Amino acid sequence: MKVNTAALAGAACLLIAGLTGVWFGTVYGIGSATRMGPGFFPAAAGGILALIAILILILEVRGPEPEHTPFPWRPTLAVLGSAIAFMVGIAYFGLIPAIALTIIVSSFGDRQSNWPGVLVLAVLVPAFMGVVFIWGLNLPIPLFKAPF
Amino acid sequence: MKTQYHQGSRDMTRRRAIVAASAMTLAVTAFGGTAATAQSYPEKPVTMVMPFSAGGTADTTGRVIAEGMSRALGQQFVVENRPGATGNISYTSVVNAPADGYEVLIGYSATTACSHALMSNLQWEIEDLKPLGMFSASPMLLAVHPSVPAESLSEFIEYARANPGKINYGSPGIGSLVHIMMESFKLKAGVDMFHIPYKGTGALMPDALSGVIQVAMSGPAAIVPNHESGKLRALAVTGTERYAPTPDIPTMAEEGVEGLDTESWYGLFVRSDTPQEIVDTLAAGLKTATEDPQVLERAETAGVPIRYLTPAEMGERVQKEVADCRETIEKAGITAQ
Amino acid sequence: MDLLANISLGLETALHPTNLMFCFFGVFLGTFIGVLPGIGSITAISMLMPLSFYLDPTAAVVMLAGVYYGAEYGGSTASILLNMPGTPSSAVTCLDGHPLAKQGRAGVALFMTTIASFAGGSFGILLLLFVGPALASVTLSFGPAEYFALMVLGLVAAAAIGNDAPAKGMAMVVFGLLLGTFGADVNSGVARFTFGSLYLYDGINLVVLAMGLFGVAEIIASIGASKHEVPDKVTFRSMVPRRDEARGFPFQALRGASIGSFFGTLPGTGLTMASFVSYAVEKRVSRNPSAFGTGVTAGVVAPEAANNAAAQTAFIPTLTLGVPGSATMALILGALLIHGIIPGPAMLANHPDTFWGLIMSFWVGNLLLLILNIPLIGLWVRLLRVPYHYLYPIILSLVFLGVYSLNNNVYDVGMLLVFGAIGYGMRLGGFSPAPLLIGFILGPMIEENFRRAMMLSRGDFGMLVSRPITGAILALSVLLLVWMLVSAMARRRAGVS
Repeated sequence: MKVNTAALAGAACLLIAGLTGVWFGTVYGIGSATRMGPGFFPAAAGGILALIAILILILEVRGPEPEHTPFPWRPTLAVLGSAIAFMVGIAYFGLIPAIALTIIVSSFGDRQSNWPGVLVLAVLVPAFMGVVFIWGLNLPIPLFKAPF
Repeated sequence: MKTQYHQGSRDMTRRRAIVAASAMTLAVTAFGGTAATAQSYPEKPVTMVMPFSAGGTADTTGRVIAEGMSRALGQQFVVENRPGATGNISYTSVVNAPADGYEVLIGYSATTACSHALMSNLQWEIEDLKPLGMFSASPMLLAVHPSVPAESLSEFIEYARANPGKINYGSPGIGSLVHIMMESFKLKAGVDMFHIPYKGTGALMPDALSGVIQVAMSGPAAIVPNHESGKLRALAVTGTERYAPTPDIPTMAEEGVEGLDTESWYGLFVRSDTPQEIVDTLAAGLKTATEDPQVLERAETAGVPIRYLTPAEMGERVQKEVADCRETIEKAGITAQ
Repeated sequence: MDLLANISLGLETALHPTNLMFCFFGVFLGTFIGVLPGIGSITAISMLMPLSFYLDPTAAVVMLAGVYYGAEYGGSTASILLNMPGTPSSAVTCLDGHPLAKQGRAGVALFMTTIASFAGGSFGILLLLFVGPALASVTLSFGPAEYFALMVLGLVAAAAIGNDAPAKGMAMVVFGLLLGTFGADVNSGVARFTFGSLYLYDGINLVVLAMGLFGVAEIIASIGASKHEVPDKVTFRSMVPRRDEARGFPFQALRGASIGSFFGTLPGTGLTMASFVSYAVEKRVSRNPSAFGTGVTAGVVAPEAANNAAAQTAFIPTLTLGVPGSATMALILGALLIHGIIPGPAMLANHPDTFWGLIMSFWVGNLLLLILNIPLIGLWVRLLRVPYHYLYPIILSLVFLGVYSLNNNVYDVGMLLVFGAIGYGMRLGGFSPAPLLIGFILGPMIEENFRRAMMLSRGDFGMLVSRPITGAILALSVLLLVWMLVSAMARRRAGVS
């Protein structure tokens, strides 16, 4: 029998999240209904979440077979990679390199990206953002900076 | 290092322009970073790290003094807000920045003095910071809702003694300056009141104005206008003397509650291993800034009380407040984390 | 009559060339910032604050306020075109706005949201003008117990937002509640789920969460996938709604504006809550609730009227009580304080020109926004023709920069990444992010106010029913819940499921 693996995995994650909430809730101290401790709300939310997650698991196993789509590894990795590139860029090199890196790395996500175009973007977009946000709005971020 | 963007000459291909731009970054990296010496300080804009969000009293105070510092030292002093964890995010980032004097911390009284007694996982120590001088201090005002039958602090203390545990006071958070000072007030005045914590003064004010909480303590900005319009009744100010704009409100000591002279203050700090010449330059700049007539005029309109203390005086004050804070927190049994 | 004199004083101030210029600059920047996903009005206003040092106070505040409500006009544009909210309060506009764009009706959606925004804004200004001070005192009658009851009502209403399996929607609301507990607990100071780091001490940032779940996740899903239907020409005709849509408009806008005005007046509740609740209410009162989420104009009109009305009425507590309801309002209050103008009851007496000038400038600003936004619709729709592989790297850069500039902290970008991944996972599993967001907003308020109310009553549950407003709102919540269950069972019995 085929099932919706994504939904099952999601429900499993929610179950784990719920149980984590309950666990930490007891660590933080549940208190009583009249004098709630800091753990009361996380534990209650976590407990309800775990129950609903179990319900979803049951419903999904009996649910209709979903259409199969391959996981889009390429876009996912490119977007995640571009965020890391931005973080490194903004922390060590300044705004212009950070935005240029973001544009270049994220463009790997789409097979249709044409590279001359991407490079034009990697020049124009950082320049535009530099003008608008740094000079125009005075965001306190250096355009370029020395990493050490 | 701030360098302007250069696009490269026209005959280059776009790809080359990118290479050129990144090469320039590398060049800046290799040669730009080492040029900062103590003699020529400050030769580039200095960041003043502000531990709270833009727009509040802290931010206004910081911006007023940054303007004066820029004039005093002939270099841009730029305020950068790095809020979070009651200011501790900024403290951590300044002690981890290079010790070259280009990141100056705008320190706040309660964050400096009380954080260590409240939180266990801090990544900065008092010893990591060197004071450059205090530039602003303002008293706190204790106010009650008009429904409270007390015209003076001594009447209020009597009323509170007659109704132990029935009066609610609000604070902008567990371990905030107000929370600690009110607990200290309870100990010193021998009264019992119930603490209701809020998420900041803004969240507390509606309940203070409607009398859900009967007692509020805050800086002049939140209390004085409501005192004047009769929505709250300010009974006393902290500090050693009366607050100049409200000369009719007595101090705590005048009303018989001794020792509550803590104020809410702002001062500058740098990393303690910053070269001494740079420390001296900054400290002298701060002193000049607090005497700058333009700064004083601006501060007057914005309601920022300017008060200068030398680095040594400020250091003593910090030491005393750290000890006081720890004592109150232990006695009152305040816990966080 | 006094009011007339005030209005004319206000108009005179608002139409003064300097103020008019700053008003235009403010609303223009606001719309622009609102359209861009990630960069929000709070960043723009914080950055303009130092500038307001040097301006005349009225001009400064007219400008900052313009950025604030201007952003609410622009916020829906990205929601409709890209399924990516420009501001968190426009997140709910994605639900029906983007399906409309996919059907080639982006022009209609944008036109109707612009008109709805203007209607909502005007409604809010009228309230501000005629009953502002009176509403402010109503605000004060809402104590912790009343807030708690109201948030519960909001939560019950919000359960209707998602269009998927009810169990999944509920799971998302509760997951949002759980995420809302991150950070230092207000009542005890205990740091929850911070794992020893200071970074999470203040909890998860709403903008980071919304941009991750809606923005980053949407980009991952759309790369190489989305093909929009783009009309060849954007004529005025293509923006005209169908007759049934136009007929429903006044009621939808009025309901949205009323709900929005109410939440705007209450400090702490915010624009996002206003737009979500009004969407939920619109879906409840609709004759055809199952059409929501497939592209009905009611689903964009009501929330946009609501958040724009709320953006105006948020000035009521700020100006008449000196109580800022949100971080942005605190900034605007700060701009007044810098110039020695103290908002509150005394402001009306001491600075009537600033007070009335500001209010009338809202109207001028709203008119400018209307004039500015309608011609822009054609331009925005043409944006859909830009190939997505050029568009998404730019959007990602904007989102990253916007999130970074909130606190100048790279961890916020890291957090965005985490929520982007979670959001994409949720999509694959058929979980919708909207209920999560409302749970996240309401959760901390429910907890905080409930625990505060219990502290104030010293542990007596009786306060929940003995206070008239609290009791009434809680009774209404219970009725709504029962009605929802009964109607769900009736539908199941009828075989619609």
